[in-house]
Amino acid sequence: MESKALRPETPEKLFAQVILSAQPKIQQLWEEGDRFIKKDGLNCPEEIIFDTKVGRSYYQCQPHFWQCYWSGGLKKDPSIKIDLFGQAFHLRAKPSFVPQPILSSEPRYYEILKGPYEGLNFHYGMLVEFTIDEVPELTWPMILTDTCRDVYLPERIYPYGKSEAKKGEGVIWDNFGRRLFLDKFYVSNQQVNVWKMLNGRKDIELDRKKWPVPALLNLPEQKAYCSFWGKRLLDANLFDAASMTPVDQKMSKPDRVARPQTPWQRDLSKTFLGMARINEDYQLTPLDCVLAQVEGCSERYYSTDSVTWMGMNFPLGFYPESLNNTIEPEKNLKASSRFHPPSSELHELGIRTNWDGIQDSKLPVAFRCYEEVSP
Amino acid sequence: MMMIFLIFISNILLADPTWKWTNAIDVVEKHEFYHNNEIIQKPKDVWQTLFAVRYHDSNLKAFKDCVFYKVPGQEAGVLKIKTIAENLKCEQVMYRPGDQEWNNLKAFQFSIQKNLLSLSLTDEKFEITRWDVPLFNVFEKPVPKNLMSSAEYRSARILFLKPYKGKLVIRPEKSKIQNLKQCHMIAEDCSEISPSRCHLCPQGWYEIPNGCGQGPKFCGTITCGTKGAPACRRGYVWQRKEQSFNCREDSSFAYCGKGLQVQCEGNLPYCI
Repeated sequence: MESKALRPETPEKLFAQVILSAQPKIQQLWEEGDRFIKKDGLNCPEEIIFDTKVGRSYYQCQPHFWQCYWSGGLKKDPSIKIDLFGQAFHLRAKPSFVPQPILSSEPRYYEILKGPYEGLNFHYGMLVEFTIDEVPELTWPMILTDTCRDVYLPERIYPYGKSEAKKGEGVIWDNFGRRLFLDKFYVSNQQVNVWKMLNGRKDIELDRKKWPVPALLNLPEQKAYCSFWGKRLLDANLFDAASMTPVDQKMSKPDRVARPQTPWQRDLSKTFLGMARINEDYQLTPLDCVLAQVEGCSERYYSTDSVTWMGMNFPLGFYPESLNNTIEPEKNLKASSRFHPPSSELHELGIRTNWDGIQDSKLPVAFRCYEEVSP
Repeated sequence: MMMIFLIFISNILLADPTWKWTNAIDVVEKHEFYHNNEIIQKPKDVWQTLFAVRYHDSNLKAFKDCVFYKVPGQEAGVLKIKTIAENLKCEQVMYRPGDQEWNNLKAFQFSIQKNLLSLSLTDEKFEITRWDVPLFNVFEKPVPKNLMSSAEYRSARILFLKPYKGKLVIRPEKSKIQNLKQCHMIAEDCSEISPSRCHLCPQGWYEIPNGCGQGPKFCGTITCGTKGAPACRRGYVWQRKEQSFNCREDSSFAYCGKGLQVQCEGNLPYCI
């Protein structure tokens, strides 16, 4: 016979039980908000815009999506329903937080926090509050952490740079004993807005259509942004580690460390990039643009189709990317991008050029951060 | 009227106080001798600090609930809980009246497990009251695995704060944590002088590799490998040989940017 859990006697304990049962649903709404979006998108033009050019990852761990959802932008009754102790309970987020006048006059369902606090180990957190219709006197505040932004770089021996014949094994290194987490995507205008607002700056991007687009900051600001969140601008050797697929992922200490020319194929000549180099009339296919957004591909942001072996996106093509290069400091730009034709020799892993650190309308440069978490 | 007030007060005093501990960040100042579920019998008629529970309220202000017990002897046992600021020690308030007290106890037991705190009070009629508190926030660092995020590695995905009744204007306190200078002290012989506190660095931290698995670490940012700066960590495994590293003999665990060389200061590599 199935044993039934006893209904707690006090409202406080009942509240705790309901919140505990609702935790997976709260987590899903925050981390996988995109799953709640139906075909017709979102109805919150003042908060966040639904755009088919923008991948669904944009709506994950996204405070503006959270605001939209609880403001009724997806369904009339946004409450989370939990059946427990033979009763239905309805959870709701509370608009407890002051408006961000620069964006909207509406009270907010969240407040972004910069950690860490003593005992609360996070750099980026979203403070939210929940009530339950059936236990109305209590409110439970909680911090949702950003589980969507970065991804772990496994511990193993890695190559740096392009393979050069007759030069032996080339530079190799390892990250055993280190906990390195790399941003999956470029830092977006929306993320830079959060940073600016937390620092009291008013020069934020107001055009919501541009929020998912990579933020174009000069090098010192890129570094300041990453440092604010306890991170650093991505290193070139980490970029190579994340994009050069190991031959055998189970062997973390291989005898020979491979340096593939593309993330999805060891030999570039067998890819569309190689074909485009020898065939001037090469016609790009939709699949090519999924692998690497090069000149001739339509613009898309936050797409996850070009993901590398460890979970980072945009290893080739897309935007030029600023990198900190501790080995060859002058080679600080991944130049392969959507601004070069597929036949360009820049579209190859390990190829880098120099950037003076200043944005130029002819050469927009994106960036991302990484974090080393203390073991 | 007075009667209603007294009933109200006694209800507050005797209500289960532990529900707010579900959002504890940790249990500290544990009594060094008492074991889980042991009936506390010694030292008789003396106040003891059993443990303290740390948690944050909705404004991110940290508090500590100290749990004291006067062990039964000539007199019956008393359990009391006192809420204090997080930076105070429980023993400083041990003899002050509790915010909540339970008198006439015959016995008391408690246990602190990974995600569960249990308290058991036996009163003069030998009736037992048991409080089981799930600890939502208490977190054990996992082994990192493929596709894990830093947030999942460092803490619970949702951090619960103290619930409250009625209306409250939320004004979350800004983090007041200041940069430490050195956040992880490692001796030349690779022994750990004090555990890492680098997770408290607001702007991250950097390591100076010293030939040990973990080198000394400092809060802040530097660009390793540049002129005058510490060398960057290259690792201790890529060499594919079992060996101990010493900067002067083999500095292959560190590297400098193109055109610079490693110079050792003790066992710490710098770039010149």
